[in-house]
Amino acid sequence: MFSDYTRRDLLRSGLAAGIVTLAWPKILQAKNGSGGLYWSAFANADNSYGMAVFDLQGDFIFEKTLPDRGHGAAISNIYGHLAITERRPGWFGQIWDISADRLIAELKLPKGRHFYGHASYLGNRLFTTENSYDEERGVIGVWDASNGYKRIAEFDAGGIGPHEMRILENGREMVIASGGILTHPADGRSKLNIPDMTPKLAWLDCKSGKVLREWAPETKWHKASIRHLTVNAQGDVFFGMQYQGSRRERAPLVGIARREGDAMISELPIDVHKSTQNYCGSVELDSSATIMAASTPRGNKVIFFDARDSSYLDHVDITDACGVIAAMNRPEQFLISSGNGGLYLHNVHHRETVLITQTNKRWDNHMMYIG
Amino acid sequence: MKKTLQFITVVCTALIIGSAFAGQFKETNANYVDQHIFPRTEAFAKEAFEFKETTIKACRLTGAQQQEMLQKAFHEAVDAWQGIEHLRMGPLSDYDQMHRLQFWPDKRNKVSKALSNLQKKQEAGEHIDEQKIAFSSVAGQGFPIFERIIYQDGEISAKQCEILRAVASNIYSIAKSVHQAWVDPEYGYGGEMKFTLAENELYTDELSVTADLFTNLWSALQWVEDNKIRSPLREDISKAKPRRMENWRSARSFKNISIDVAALKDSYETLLQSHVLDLADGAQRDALILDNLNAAATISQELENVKEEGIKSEEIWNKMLDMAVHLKEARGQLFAVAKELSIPVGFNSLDGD
Repeated sequence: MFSDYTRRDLLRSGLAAGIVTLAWPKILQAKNGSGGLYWSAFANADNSYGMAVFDLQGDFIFEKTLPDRGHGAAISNIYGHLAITERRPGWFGQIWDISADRLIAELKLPKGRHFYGHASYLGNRLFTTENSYDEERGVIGVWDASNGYKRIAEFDAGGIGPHEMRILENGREMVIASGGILTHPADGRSKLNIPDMTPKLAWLDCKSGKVLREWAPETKWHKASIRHLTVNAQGDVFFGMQYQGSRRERAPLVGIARREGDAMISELPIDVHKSTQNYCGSVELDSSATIMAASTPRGNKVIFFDARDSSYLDHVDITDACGVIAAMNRPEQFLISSGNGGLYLHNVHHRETVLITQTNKRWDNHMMYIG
Repeated sequence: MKKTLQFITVVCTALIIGSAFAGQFKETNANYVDQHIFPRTEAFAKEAFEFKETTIKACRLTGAQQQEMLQKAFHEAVDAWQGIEHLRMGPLSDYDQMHRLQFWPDKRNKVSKALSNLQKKQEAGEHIDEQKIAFSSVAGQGFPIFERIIYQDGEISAKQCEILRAVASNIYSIAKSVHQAWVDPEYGYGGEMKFTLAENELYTDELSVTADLFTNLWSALQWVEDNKIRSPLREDISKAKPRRMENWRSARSFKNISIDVAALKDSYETLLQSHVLDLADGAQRDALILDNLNAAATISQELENVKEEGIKSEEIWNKMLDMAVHLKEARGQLFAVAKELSIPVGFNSLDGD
């Protein structure tokens, strides 16, 4: 069904050689400068929603209204397309050509599916995490970017509640964080199976959808819902959790699943751990892939770990901080967004935080590097 | 340099505002714990004791007298339960206590499966007692399984009474432990929130307690709106589903909503109202919030005795929708005042993903 992904496809989609922007629109490249461009969804004070692209100087390059609340997004450097799906329970999926400043396609979900808010590109394929809510199973929707974003296939996600996903650099595997929480759009955002939820990480073959490997927290921590993740060039997976059990417990917050070997859970100083309320909002690596950042909006903190051994390094206090992303070409620096409207640049090594710009936008959970 | 200064200014301003409010919140947090939480958990524990005792007595009777006695005890216990159901934090979030008491919504029909499993065990000769219930399926430990038995057609059998006694005892044990976990002077959640314990395991300062209580209030408003109102209402009246309501078997779903809304209004008044009134346009802000909560409360009281099938009538359907709209409005207004009061709840911390 799928054409084979060629080495050229992988290079062009930025997977095999770090981030490359062969086909990225000139208009953006011209404004890019050395710090790169970043994307985030947001809400306005009047509860209308939108998304924006901005640079490290806090200048806005692109801004659009969305029909409802966005969440994460994916970027195709082959097509210069940006794909955004609505957060859970999400019904809209849009494809934007930023350089042409236009909406070029809308994803048409099959009956009985809704989006979870995350997506990934590989070559001419777009993958989206979805809920097949009447069947009570998670699925990955497969869309053909070369043919008007026609839906061409669907994989079982290997778990309930697939949330964030990434394609590994080998271009053959995707890894999916499945929170394990059953929801149904008829019940809003209510969680329906907390007593017997089973979160997991699942590695799937990108072509066949076959589950290649799985990892789940030990039974004691079966309420540690795995939601967010990122990957490094070696295929190690860095993941963040949101614990659904007692606040009194010091539940696992972040971990690293090595390409070879078992997963390890990071330890935190007790006061920092306490403040997080066992809730991680976003996980990313810095541009040198040596520091992992985990945002904890309930603890009003972003916490930093050594990505090599998962040990705690430091944290920065920022109210309602959730979106975090590597400042490109600036090792040890992260761009951080807050639900209170601020965009910050934080240098982990120097422990310096600069407010880039204060907006009246409520920045949503995630940011993405565009190019 | 300019931007660094801008950052420092923002941080300092936030700290100053935060510390100015912190002392005031300490008092209202304590009031909320003492005047709202403790009396309700105590009342539930007492009512659960009566419920257990009445169930034991009723099981010595038969026929209509037995059923009437069990149903009355059930309603009184659920009234008290609904009075704390909005406290979806602390002890109720520990050890699945919330789900053990009220496994709902039950999309996979797990309560029926749990009942069927218990009956199979009885057929195999097992005696069902509180201990067995406490270690069986979460879905088969609380009010829904009890309701299923006492609102069935026909007489309650001796075997079913054995299950009822075990379930009622289990409910009492949970209720007692929930109350204890709030009030215990050495480790209670109440002490953590009032900072009266030797060591605070949960909170670093008063504002983080207020943020937690605020988040609970906000989330409970959303829970009632989403699950108890909009879920059975559906998008239009032709699709309304009475059996999606919480206690359709005992026809008390509307009463549950009424108790919820009253408890949430009391939460606002005890925890936040005095702070809202201190804002520059406080009287106006407070009036807006109360207008919505009062409107929802009035509708819910008016509907208290309506049977669930009533949502298929246009009048009731529209009133329920109005109620949902008022609760949503109140939620939006609460979010706005939280920001002005420097309560550290944000867009992502409150409703992230």
